[in-house]
Amino acid sequence: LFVPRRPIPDAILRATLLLSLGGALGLAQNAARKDGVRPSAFAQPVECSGGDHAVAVEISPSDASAMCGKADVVVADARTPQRFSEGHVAGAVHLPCHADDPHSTAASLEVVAGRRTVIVYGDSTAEATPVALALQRRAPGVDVRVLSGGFPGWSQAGLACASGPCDSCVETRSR
Amino acid sequence: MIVAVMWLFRLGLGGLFVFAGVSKLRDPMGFAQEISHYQLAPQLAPYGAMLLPAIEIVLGAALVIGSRRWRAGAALGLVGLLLVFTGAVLTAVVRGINIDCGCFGAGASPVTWWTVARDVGLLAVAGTALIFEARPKEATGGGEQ
Repeated sequence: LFVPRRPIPDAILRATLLLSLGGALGLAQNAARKDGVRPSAFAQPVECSGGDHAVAVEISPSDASAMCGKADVVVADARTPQRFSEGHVAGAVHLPCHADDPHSTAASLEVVAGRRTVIVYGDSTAEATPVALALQRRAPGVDVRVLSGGFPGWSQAGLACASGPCDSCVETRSR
Repeated sequence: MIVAVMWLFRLGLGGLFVFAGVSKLRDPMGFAQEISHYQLAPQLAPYGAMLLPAIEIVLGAALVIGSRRWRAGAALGLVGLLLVFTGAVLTAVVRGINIDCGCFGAGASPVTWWTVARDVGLLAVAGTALIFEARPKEATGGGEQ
């Protein structure tokens, strides 16, 4: 039968000593090595950061346009607010994506909440890919795709949505 | 028999933590990123990456080669550590975030319910080791080892 006399307080003391020793050794080895962690230089990953070795699923502008009217599909603009204001896919939502904004991850997840498919675009496919991968990582149940060619590709294909919510999007061949 | 099982527990659990700590030391920045992916106080991730590997090595080594009283302390420390680890992976699974567990440094396996089950199993082993090592000497059937 487990009947401790004084061993638990003794174990607590020794556990504290071991943790302290480990902590001290950890700090010492980290300070000694060139590739150690520097808290001041550590950049917390945001949804804009790269997504390991995964491959983003692309979607062509025409296929994206066909999906645009569905209620469970959202088109997300991953560009800067300025670029968004200069012109964007009508009905698209702006994806908050700033490394200096600690709330951007939560805000981005709110954008995709309840959606089955999210189509992310930037000024190019490459620009939107890391954002899409990071979103996919944060929201694994959502089908995240990257718009091929980004906003320029959408424009050059002559596809546009009218202003207003996405379910009012229309397809046009001239802009 | 019990002594032999506990010896295996000590060797397995202690060795595993020494291995995990050494693995994490290979890429401290990558490990810090893995910690921050849990989205639990990510500002503390670099400090966790600095402290955790060495703590795991010290606790694991003490469990394997320490005297009985030090083994009890190590087992208690590992119970605390595993409670934190299990809580972290459990919240990640419940929140549905798709991240690597970082259990053996950067690039480890993804967090799933299996990760939670593994941590619970290790917690049970550490708890058993703590109970055994913290018992009075006459109750263990052996002296200082």
